[in-house]
This record gives sequence, C-alpha cells and structure tokens, in this order.
Amino acid sequence: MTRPLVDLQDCVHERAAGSDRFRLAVERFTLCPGDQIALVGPSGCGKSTTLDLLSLIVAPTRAGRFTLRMPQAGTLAGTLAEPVDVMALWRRGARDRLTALRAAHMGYVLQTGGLVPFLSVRENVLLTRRALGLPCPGPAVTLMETLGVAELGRRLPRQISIGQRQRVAIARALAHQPAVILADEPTASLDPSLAEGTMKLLSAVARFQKAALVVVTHDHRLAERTGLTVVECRTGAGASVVRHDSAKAEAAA
Amino acid sequence: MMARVTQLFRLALADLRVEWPIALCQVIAIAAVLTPLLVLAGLQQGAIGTLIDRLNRDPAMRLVVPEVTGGHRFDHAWFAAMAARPEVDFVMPATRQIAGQIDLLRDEASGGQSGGQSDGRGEARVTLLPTAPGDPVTGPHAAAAAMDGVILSSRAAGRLGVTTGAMVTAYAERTRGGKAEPLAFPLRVVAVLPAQRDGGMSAFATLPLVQAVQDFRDGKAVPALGATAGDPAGPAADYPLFRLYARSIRDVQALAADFQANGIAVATRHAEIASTLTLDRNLRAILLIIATLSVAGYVVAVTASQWGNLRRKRRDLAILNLTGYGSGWLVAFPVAQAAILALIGSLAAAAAFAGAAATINGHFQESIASGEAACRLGAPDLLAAAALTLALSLLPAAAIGLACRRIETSEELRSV
Repeated sequence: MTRPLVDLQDCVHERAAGSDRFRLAVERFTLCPGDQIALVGPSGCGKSTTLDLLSLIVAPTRAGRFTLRMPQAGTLAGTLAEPVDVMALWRRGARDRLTALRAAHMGYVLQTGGLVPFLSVRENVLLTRRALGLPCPGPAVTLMETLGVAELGRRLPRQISIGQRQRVAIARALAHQPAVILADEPTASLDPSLAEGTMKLLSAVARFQKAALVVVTHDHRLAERTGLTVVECRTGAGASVVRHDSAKAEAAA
Repeated sequence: MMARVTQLFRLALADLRVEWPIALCQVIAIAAVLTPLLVLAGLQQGAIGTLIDRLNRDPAMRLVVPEVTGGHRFDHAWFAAMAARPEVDFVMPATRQIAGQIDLLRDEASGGQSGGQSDGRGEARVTLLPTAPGDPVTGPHAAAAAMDGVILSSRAAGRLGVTTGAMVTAYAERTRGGKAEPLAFPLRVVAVLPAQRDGGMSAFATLPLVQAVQDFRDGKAVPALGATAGDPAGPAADYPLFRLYARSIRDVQALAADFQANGIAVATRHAEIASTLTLDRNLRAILLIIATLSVAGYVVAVTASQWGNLRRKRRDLAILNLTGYGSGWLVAFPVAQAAILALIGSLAAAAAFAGAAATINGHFQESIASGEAACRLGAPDLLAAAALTLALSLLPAAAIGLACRRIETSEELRSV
C-alpha cells in the first residue's frame, strides 16, 4: 500500500449559467503512482470538470479534503513530499502557486493537442521545461523519437497532421517527467485506427516514466483494451458523481 | 532570471514572427504616428534653431550697452561681479565716447614692407574701443593687441586702405590752457575683422591704450604715448560705460530687465531677438499641441490594438497557463511584445525621419550655410522619442496584461 499522489474527499464543484446549474460531487478520489484510470461517462456528466479539478485550473466550491502529495524534488523516486492542501490554496487565491504545482508535477494532454500555434513543435515540447527552468532539451529528444515526432521539431503545429499534434502534445505532457498525466479525450479527434495506437502509446510512455495517468474518454471499450481502470462518472439527481479509490492507496490519515 | 527573460522574449518573438503581417501593421502604425512628429520637431529645431544660432553667432545681437547719461560709474568690483554671472559671456569697460574718437592715417612708408595696401582714402576717424581676450567681436585677435597694436573693423580698414600688418599713425588733440596740443603715435594693424563682426568705423585696442588716450584728452601726462605735459595720470578707478555680451540671445532680455531695475538704462537688440524667440515659442506650442493630440491618438490606437490582440490570444495564453506559466508571465508577454514593436517602430520612424530630413535639407540647400540644417534632430532627441514611444506602448500593455492575468484557463480551453 502506498500514499496517494492525489487525495479528494467530498469535493464539490458547482456552477450556474443562467438557469442551467451544474453540480459535480467527487465523493472520493485517490490516485497513486503507476495508476492508469479512464474516466468514462456520457456527455455533460462532469468528466472534463473532474480533470480540471485535478489539474488545478478549476476551483472546488468546497472540499472535505483535496491534497496533493507529490514526489519530492531531488530525492529517490517514490519519496513523497509533505501534502499540499489544494483547497487552502484556492481559498487564498494562490493561483500562481497552483500553476507552479501543476507545472512541476502534472502534464496535460488536450483533446485537440492544445499546442501553442506560434511555437515550433520542439518549443511546444520544451514549454513546461523552460517554464520550470529545467535544462533543455533534457529527455525531450528521446521522448520525441519514441513518439515519432523528432523529425517535426522545426515545424509549426499547423504544418503537421492531427495525429502528429496529439503525439507532440503527449511529448509535451511528459517532457518534464511529471508524476501525473491528465488527458482530456486525447483520441476524440483521431480516426479509430489512430486512436487505439495513440491511447496505447500514451499508456506505455506514462508507464515507462512511472507516471500516474488519468484519461477522460467516451470510448469505454478503448479504455478497457488499453488496460486502463475504468471509473464511471454517474449522473444522479441534480448532480454528477465520481468515486474512485485507488487499489494501491493506504487509508488516509 | 536570465533564462526566464530569454524564454519571455523567445515566446514574444515567436508569436510576432508567425503573425508577421499583423506585427508589420503595428510597426507601420507606430512609425506613421512618430515620423511626422519627428519631422515637425526636426523642422522646429532646424529652421528656428539655425535662426537662433545665427543670432547667437552675431555678437551685436547679444550686446548690452548703457545709454549715455553720465549718471553712472562702474568700478572694478562691478565688472568682476558681472563677469562672474553665468548669463554674461564678456564684459569690458568703455571710456567716454568722445574721448575715444581718434584719427588714423595710413603710414605710406611702412605700408609696402609690413602689410598690404589697397585703395582707400588713407585716413579715417574711428572710435577707439577697449578689447581683451574673450571679446566675441575681436575673437582670437584680442590677445595680439598690445600697446602698439590695433584691430580694425572692416569698414575702417577699407577707408584706410590697409590690411593686417600695415602701420598706421593715430592722431588725437586736446586743448590745455587755451592751446591745442596734438598727439601722434604709431600703431600696427594686428587684424582686420570680418564685416559681419563690426559694421562701424571701429578700432579695438587694449584697455591701457584706450585709457591712455582718454587721459591725454583729460589733460594728463601720458609718457607711454610721448605726451609729457600735464599732471601724471593715476590708475582709473571706474568707468562711465561698458560693453557687455550676453551668453545667449535668450539671456539678453533678463539682463536688460536687471539693469533697468537697478536704474541703468540699456540698449539692446531686443525687438529683433523677441521676434525670433516668439516665433520659436509659438512653433513649440503648436508642436506641443500636435504632439499631444498625436500621442493621445497613439495611446488609444495602441491600447485598442493590444486589447484586440490579447483577446484573440486568450486561448494561447490559457495553454501557456496550463503548461506552467503563471500570472507574471501573462502580464509580461504583452509587455515584451509591446516593447519589441515600439523599438522596431521607433527605428523605422528614425529611418523615415532621416530620409525626410535629407530631402528637406536638400530642398533648402541654397538657404542654409555649411553646418546648418533646415531639419535636424540629434541622437539624444531620437533616443528620447524612442523612450517616450516605449513608455506609451508599455503602459497600456501592462494595464491590459494585468487585466487579463486572471484568465479562466478551463473556460478558454473548453470554448474551442
């Protein structure tokens, strides 16, 4: 048993747009090193919002517990730092601290790649490493070769195919060797033959880097074929509910 | 820190490079506002500056002389105090005007050997004025004038028909005890002044020589000039007149007012100076109005352009935020871009100004002397313009950056 990297308990996010109200309740969510899960469910059930909560770009309305316990910099792999109270940071409005936590410990793959259009493929991949002040290119070159995008380094995102953009986005998410990879429907814009290959590549590279992986997808069967643990996002009476307890997680204090 | 600055400008430049048509339009917009302002300022500095420089180069325009009333005496302490004032370029005592009138006669015997001669009457009545090193009228020649030397105005030299190096004889006369006593002494022509330095019938000599001539007129013995009759002359304690040159034509009015306040009526070329300075002031005011309106327009245009640009880039900024770039980066990104565009725009404006100034100066070539310009701006002026452009670009960029730093990353990413 191990301590979770991400630990949420009774975390609620509510928002309203006119008469439309949305409520997401994450009753329990833990993520341990090496976990690979797929958040599945119908459209509008809160999968992407859950990912936004995990990636610290959306504030919970309230939370019983929302802590991150990420690997300590400069220590042996597996040594975790003291837990960070994410909810407290949101309450303090410490957005830059949250951005710094995200940069240091998380990689994010967007549905359409989410590459910066004015940066070359190489600079997109190095984006987070440069923000963190890490030596460049570091492992990015090997990663780009593994993902088959090394030859595209000087091109702009608009000059490469959608499938290549997704692989560049995966390279960017992994280039700074984060502890957690978050991917929001990374294969939604790909044709099925590419989708399976991309999903497997993402899973394999995350596993190779010993990063935990959370993927939002509509494709339940693809998730299962890739070997991800499927977590259902259920829509209930007035709220969407997510519950996942990592099998590796030891009981929270 | 250096790595962060490098990355900031890498991002800013990459965006400008990819969207170069928009960046080019912004550079052209900056240059289009700045260039006419630089040309207007260049014309003001060139045309009016040249006019003022010309007036400043003419000592007569800076001359302040007391009106002859005989009611004032100016002692050595007064002259020392005046010479120490920063707005005073040169001040020299002057003797009574009538006492300084002497006749000069060309020395025919020495003329062929020691100096050139030309046509002329060979004699002239001149006003003998004291001079000394620093005198803007006699310039470097003042140092060469000893007890036996004289610097002639162009008109006096022409009347005498002499040039530099010629010998002349000075004649003066006094009446003592009802009897006329003449005085004659030789003088060497040390220099002949250009016509524009002094248009009168003037001869400049050292103060002791001029004082000696006045002493002779006053009936004193002046052994240095060969007049031994009369009481011995003592050192002059004070003088009735002076010849004062302001450092600049801009100082003349203040000096004149100061003298008037102390009860000393003075004569200056105030009217001519005032017309030029008024023109300068009015042109400056017009330039300021135009500049203010242009700057206001520039700030509005730049703000609108930057705001629109940033609105268009919200998703890119959201991705930057998602990948670890905090609010400081989001503020600094538009500021860095504004700085790059302002600097390139300023360079383009300076180049356009140089071309326009060359064209204008070529057009007015016949009206301006060597070293003068109808349109000119110095490097400090161009740097100041670039600094102002930079400031006026950075301030709205920083304000917009601050307004956009709280970007809702999740909303921007979902809006695609």
